[in-house]
Amino acid sequence: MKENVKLLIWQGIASVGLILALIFAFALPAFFLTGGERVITTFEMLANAHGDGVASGGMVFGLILLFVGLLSSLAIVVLLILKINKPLITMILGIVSGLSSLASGLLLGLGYFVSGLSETNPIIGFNQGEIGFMAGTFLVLGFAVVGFICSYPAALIVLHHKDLADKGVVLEEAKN
Amino acid sequence: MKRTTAVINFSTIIMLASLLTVATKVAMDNALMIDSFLTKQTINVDEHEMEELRAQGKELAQKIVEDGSVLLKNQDNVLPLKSKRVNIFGWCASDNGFLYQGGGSSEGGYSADKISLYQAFRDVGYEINEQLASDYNRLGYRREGAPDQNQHSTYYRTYDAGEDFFTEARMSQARNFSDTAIMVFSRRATEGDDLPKVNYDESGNPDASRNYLSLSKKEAIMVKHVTNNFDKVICLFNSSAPMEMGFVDYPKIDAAMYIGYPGYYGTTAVAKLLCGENGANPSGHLSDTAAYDLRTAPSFVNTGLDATKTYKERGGRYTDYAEDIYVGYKWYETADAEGYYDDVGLDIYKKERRGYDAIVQYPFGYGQSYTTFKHTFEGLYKGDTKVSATTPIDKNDTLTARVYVENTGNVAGKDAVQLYFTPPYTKGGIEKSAVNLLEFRKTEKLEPGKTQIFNIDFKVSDLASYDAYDKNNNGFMGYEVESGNYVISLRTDSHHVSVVNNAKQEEKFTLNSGFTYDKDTTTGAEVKNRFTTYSNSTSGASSTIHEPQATYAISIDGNDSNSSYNQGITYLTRADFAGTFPKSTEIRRMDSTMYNNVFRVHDPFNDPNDTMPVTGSTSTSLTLNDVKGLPYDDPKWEQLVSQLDINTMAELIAHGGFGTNAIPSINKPRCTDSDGGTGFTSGVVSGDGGHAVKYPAANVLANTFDIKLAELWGHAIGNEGKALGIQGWYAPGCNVHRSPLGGRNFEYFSEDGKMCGYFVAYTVKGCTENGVYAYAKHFAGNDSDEGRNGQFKWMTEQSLREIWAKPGELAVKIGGANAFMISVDRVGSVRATGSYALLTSLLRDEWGFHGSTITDYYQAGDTNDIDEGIRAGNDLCLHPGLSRTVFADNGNWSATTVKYIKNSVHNILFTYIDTVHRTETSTGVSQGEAQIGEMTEDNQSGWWRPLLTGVDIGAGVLLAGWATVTVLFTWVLKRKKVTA
Repeated sequence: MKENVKLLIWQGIASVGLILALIFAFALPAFFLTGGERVITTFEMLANAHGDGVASGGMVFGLILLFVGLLSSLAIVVLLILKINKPLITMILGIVSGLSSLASGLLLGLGYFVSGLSETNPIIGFNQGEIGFMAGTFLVLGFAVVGFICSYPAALIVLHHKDLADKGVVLEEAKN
Repeated sequence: MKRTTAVINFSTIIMLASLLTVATKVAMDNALMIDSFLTKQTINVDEHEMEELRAQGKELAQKIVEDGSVLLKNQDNVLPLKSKRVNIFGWCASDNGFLYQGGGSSEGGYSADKISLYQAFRDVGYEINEQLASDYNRLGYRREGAPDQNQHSTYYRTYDAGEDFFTEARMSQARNFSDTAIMVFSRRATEGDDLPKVNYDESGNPDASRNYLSLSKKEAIMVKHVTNNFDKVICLFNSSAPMEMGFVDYPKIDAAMYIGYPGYYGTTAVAKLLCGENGANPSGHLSDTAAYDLRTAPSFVNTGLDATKTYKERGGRYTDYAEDIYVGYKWYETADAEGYYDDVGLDIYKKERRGYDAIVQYPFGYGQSYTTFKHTFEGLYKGDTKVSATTPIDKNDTLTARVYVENTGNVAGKDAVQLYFTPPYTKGGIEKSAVNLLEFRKTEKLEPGKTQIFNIDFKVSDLASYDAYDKNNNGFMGYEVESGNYVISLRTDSHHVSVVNNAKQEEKFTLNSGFTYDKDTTTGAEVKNRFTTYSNSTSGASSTIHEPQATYAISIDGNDSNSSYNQGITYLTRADFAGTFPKSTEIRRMDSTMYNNVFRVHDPFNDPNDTMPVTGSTSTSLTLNDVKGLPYDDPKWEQLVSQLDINTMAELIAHGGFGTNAIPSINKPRCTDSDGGTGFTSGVVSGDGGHAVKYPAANVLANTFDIKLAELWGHAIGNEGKALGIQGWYAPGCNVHRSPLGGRNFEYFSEDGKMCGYFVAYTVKGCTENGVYAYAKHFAGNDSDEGRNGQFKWMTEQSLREIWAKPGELAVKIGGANAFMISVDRVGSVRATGSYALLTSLLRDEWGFHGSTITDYYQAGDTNDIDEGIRAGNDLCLHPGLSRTVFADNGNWSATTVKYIKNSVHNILFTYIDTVHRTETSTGVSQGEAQIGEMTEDNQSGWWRPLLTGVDIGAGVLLAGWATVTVLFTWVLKRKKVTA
């Protein structure tokens, strides 16, 4: 399989992962509270109308990074589809995509964690019932990590080419 | 190994190391929260006894709804219903639609306890149109969203059936079922928001021509169809405040009742009231004014999402209480007295109203009954002497109003006795409302023909107004009863004076000279301006705000000679209502001077002259039992507190969320403090084992006009606390209904500060004398919730003292309050939790408060600061995850910090043991014997710290090994291979 096709597949998966992370962040509740029969969404935590801002500040930044990561990833996909073969640009976008995805996943995941722990925190815990994490908490982090891992090939493309070149030199030396 | 692989390895190693480091840091920073999360609370309780207590609580909850539901209209005596076959219209009556309680910290309870409105009717023996009920349930709407500014369009949607629902077949079936139709209208309200000024439909589309408390378009469709099809039409209002109910004037609507949020059990009482089951008879009276149009209130423009402005450039939100003292009925009655509404007309259903009647539909205090009453003001007495217009009256006199209430109807019922006063007013002088609630009482259930006599005492000083600016230029700033004519009137509501034989039931007297009060009439402490910086150029009287913990404190009214601080607010004045009626506030700017000197938290002040106080003393070995019943300032308290070491004391203050630490050395147990403005919510184990009673909203209780019920409520809370192992309660609400749009009106009692004060005081008294201390919340000025958290609340000192802080004052002076939760906002420019003027000068020094104060949910940054707090008079942090590290000089304690920490610990301990003492004195039972339930904590948090440490070490070793291998195979061995 051609290198560009492989890259496209990896980066395509990364993009889908990041899109899903973004959708899940807004569509899925992060916690539930049985006492009040309520679920808590990222959106609510972000609004920070009631909280101390500790979690939400980081989460807002996490979402921004998630956008950046997704845009970088999509840019690589577009470049590859258009067959614009610029390894340096691909590498830079891959690094941005990978690091942004990881950082956003961490920030959002830890944001959920901190908010979720604080069952009595006014952001989420208006009452002390039984609190539990819901799918949103795990899926956002999980798919952000997918975005990170799948950005590796693009981020390492230049290095990969150098490795191949080195390998060629070694083979050449071996032949000689 | 390829370089690519090496980079993958190293980046993965770095990523995992970062992840572990950050996760470990976050976990350790939140260690107490994790412990709390992993700690299971269980209550060992005598289930039989608990069930008995719950049954008593439920009975009380139903009684409150029975006495607190307000009959607004009863045309042709359609109520009580003669037939028990009814159609119930409106999605708001359905199982998903009906509202039992408000949102936020009051939300909770054991949902299986809920008695739905439909079920309540069935339980009381009604036959409801089940087909119709089923159709409404099948509409499938569900209330969604969360209370925050970005979700108004979801949270505040109004749902109801549209035109398609009212088919001829359905209406025909309903007509055949019964000629009686009940329509239900519900509106949400919650902590964290104020109600929106637009009306959202079920899809979240806003209708700017209506506000949230207006009739929605779909509800209007329902009203049209129901009134066209049924002979008897009744409206029920299930909201936190009176809605805009002009449509109730429509002659085809026969009856209407405001039921508020009735809690989980109150629906049964509503069903009983409608048919008069077992002599049920509405006796509630509105604790708020119901205006045709909310925009007529001067607070309207400065309430809600569009009214909490953000300062340009540096942020920080603010609200102007520009309506000054003219809140609720005080505005409408004074505006009427000044002829402000004389030219206003309102044509509803071809019945024209003029003036006040065109503005106010149901005045404060309004409420009908199935019977009628005659209210007679027999006279006003000074001792045994009947007061006449010329009777000499002294500033410290107590007067007695003698009132008769006679049931002149055919069925038994209760009524409210409402005494108001009208003071003399001089244009441009001290702001005064034309009508002021003086006292109120509730009759017993009077059989037809029976009369109850009331001797209602009040002090002359109760007629005083607070002159913060020396507006009458007599050189005095403080409480004054000015010379002139006073009218004491017996009214059926704030607007209508009782009439007997064509005679108005009112008494008048004249004061030839006025009185000033430079001493508090209860405590004898000095009264002076605490919050106002002002100099009267005519009289020379002046005052300066005293806030030693603030770098700079702006006068509470926002006026300052320095343009960096000056807010330039115009307050409503009776001298010129038309010219000063509040308009939408322009967005102001916060410059760097105000930002640095006012907005930000600064380093704590330490006095170099302070010497290190004694801590950890072993010279005495007192316990709390040794100080039980002793005065707050008894020397033994200093000895007791000195026994404690500084870390124990600092932890007690910092770790104050939802309970306070145990201190075994002085026999202080761990206390559990529960949230919940309408009954315990947090700290209550879910399920059958320990759920608490979900009571009706506070304003429903206030609508009873019966302070005995408030005391009973407090007592019931005390019983539950003893059963559930709860010692403290974050309630009752001590704020005021500044606007019907207030998000937490269901937690607060009324638009009248004095009425709020009585209900807070008696609730506090009831529970404090029965084992549970009450943090009355949120002292003071937290009357709206939109944009809260450190918000600047600009107001005059007169309005603060007469309205916003009045509930707190009465809670201390009447209820003996020994705990308060402090507002999360600012009083003027100063954080309420850091306001020495509020928490020490006014609350403690002037009003004589002894006990502890706690923040609202503790927020770092520019909202709360505990170093500032303990110095100003705030004692506890409401946060379950804080430790002593929250103090700036933790571990390197300054003498000043230790001094104030000891003071706060004294206050915290006093709250606990004072409650124990008062309970034992009141009940004659020792606290140990009275405790029925015991809260035990199964701490299962011991495992996670070693596990995390193990994971960190193990992962560290593995990652280091991985890195080493990568280096070896990528460079070292490869080089050797090449060399070889």
